[in-house]
Amino acid sequence: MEANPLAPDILFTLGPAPVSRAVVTTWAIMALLTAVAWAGGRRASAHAGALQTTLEIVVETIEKQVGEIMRRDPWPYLPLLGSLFLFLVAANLSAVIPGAKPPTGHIETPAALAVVVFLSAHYYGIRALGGAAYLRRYVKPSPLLLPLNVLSEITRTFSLMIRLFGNMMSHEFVLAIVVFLAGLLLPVPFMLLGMMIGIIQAYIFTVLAAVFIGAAVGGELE
Amino acid sequence: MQIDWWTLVFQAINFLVLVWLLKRFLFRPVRDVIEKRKAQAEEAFAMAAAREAEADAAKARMEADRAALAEERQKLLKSLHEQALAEREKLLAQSREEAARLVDAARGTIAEERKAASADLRKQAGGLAVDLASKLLGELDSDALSRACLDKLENRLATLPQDELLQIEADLRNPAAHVTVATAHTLAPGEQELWRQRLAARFAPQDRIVFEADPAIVGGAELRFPHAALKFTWADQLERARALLQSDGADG
Repeated sequence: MEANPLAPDILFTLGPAPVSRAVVTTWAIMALLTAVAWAGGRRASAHAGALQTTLEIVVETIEKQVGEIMRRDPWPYLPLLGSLFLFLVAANLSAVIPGAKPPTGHIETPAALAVVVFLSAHYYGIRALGGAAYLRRYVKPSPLLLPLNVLSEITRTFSLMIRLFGNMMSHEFVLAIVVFLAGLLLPVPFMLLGMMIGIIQAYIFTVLAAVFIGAAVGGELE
Repeated sequence: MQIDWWTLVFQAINFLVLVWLLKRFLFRPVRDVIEKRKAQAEEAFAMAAAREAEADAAKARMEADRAALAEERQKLLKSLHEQALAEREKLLAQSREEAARLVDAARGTIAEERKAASADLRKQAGGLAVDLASKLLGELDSDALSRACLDKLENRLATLPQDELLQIEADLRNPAAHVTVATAHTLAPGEQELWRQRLAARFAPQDRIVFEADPAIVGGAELRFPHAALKFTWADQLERARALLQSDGADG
C-alpha cells in the first residue's frame, strides 16, 4: 500500500525542522514573484514598460476589487490581500508544471494562510477601533451571543482553510485518478478546469479575507 | 490526516516574508508610480484649467476690446460723418458764394458787354445814319438849299456878338483879305451873283468874295474870314449829330 497522499512530503531537514515539498515550492513561488516584481518595479516610472504596465494592471485590478469589497482606502491592506491573491494563484497554478505539486493541496499551507488572515483581521480591527471597542463588538447585539460570535470567528477561519484545501486536494486526486484511468490526453480538460478552479479559489480566499478584515475594521461581525 | 506544524510555521513565515517582499518590490513602487501619474494628471488638469481660465479671460478681454473698438469705430464714423457734413455745408456755402460771385461777375460782364455793344451799335448806327444823311443831303443840294443857307448865315451874322462882328470887319479892312464862300458843289453863276450881292451889302466889295467848292462840307455853305468862319454845312451839323449820338451812347 502506498503512503498517505495527505501526509507532508519531507524533502530535507534544517536542523530539527523538516522541510516539506510544499515549503520548497513556496520558496520557488516567492522567488518567482519577487523576481517578477523586482524586474517590473525596479525602474518604475510614469512612462511604463510592458512588464510594469502588466503589473500595474494587476495591482490596480486587485486594488479596485478590494476597495469595492472593503469600501475604504484599500492601500493599507493591499500588500497582505494582494500578496495573498498572487501567491494563491501562483500556488494553485503550479499544478500545471510537471512534477510540481501545489502547496495549497496540503493542509498546512491553507492553515497557515487562514491563521495569518485570522490574526491580521484582529490586528487591523484593534488598530482601527482600539482594543475595547473591538472586543465590544463580540457582545453585540447581546452578550448572550458572545459564545456564538467567538465560535463563528473560529469556524469561518476553519472553513476558509478547508475550502481551499478541499478544492485543491480533491482536484489533485481527481487528476491523478483520471491520469491513471485514461492516459495522457484526457486529463488536459481537467487540467484547464483545475486552472480555473485554482484562480477561482484564490479569488474566493482573497475576497473572504477582505470581507473579514473589512468587517473587523468597520466594527462589524461577518 | 496529520498536520506538520513545522510546515505550517514555515508557510506562515514564508507568506509574511512574501508580503514584505511584494510590498517592497511591487505594491510600493506601483503605488508610487500611480500617485506620481495621478499627480501629473492632476497637475495637467490644473494647468489645463488654468489655461482654460486664462483663455476665457483672454476671450473676455478680446470681446471687451472688440466692443470698445466697435464703439470707437462708431464714434469715429459719427465724427467723420459730422465732419463730412460740416465740410459739405462749408463747401456748399463756398460754392454758393462763388457761384453768386461768378453770376454777379457774369452779370456785370454781360452788362458791360451789353453796354459796350449798345454803345458800339449806337456808334455804328449814328455813323451809318450820318453817312446816309451825308449821302442823301449831298444829293439834295440845290439852289433853294443854297439860298436857305444864305438866309441862315445872314441870320447868324445878325446874331453874332458885337465884338466878334467888329473883329471880322476889322479883318476885312485889309485890302488883301477876302471872304471865301465854300460850298460842296460849285455854285451856279446866278447863285454866285446872289451871294455876292448879299455879302457885299454887309462886308466887302464883290471882287473880294471868292467861291470855293469843298465836297467835305457835304451840303450848305461856310463863310471863311481871315480869322474866323461861319458855318452852316451839313458836315458840321452831321458832325454835331454824330457827337451828340456818341455822347448819348456814352452816357447811356
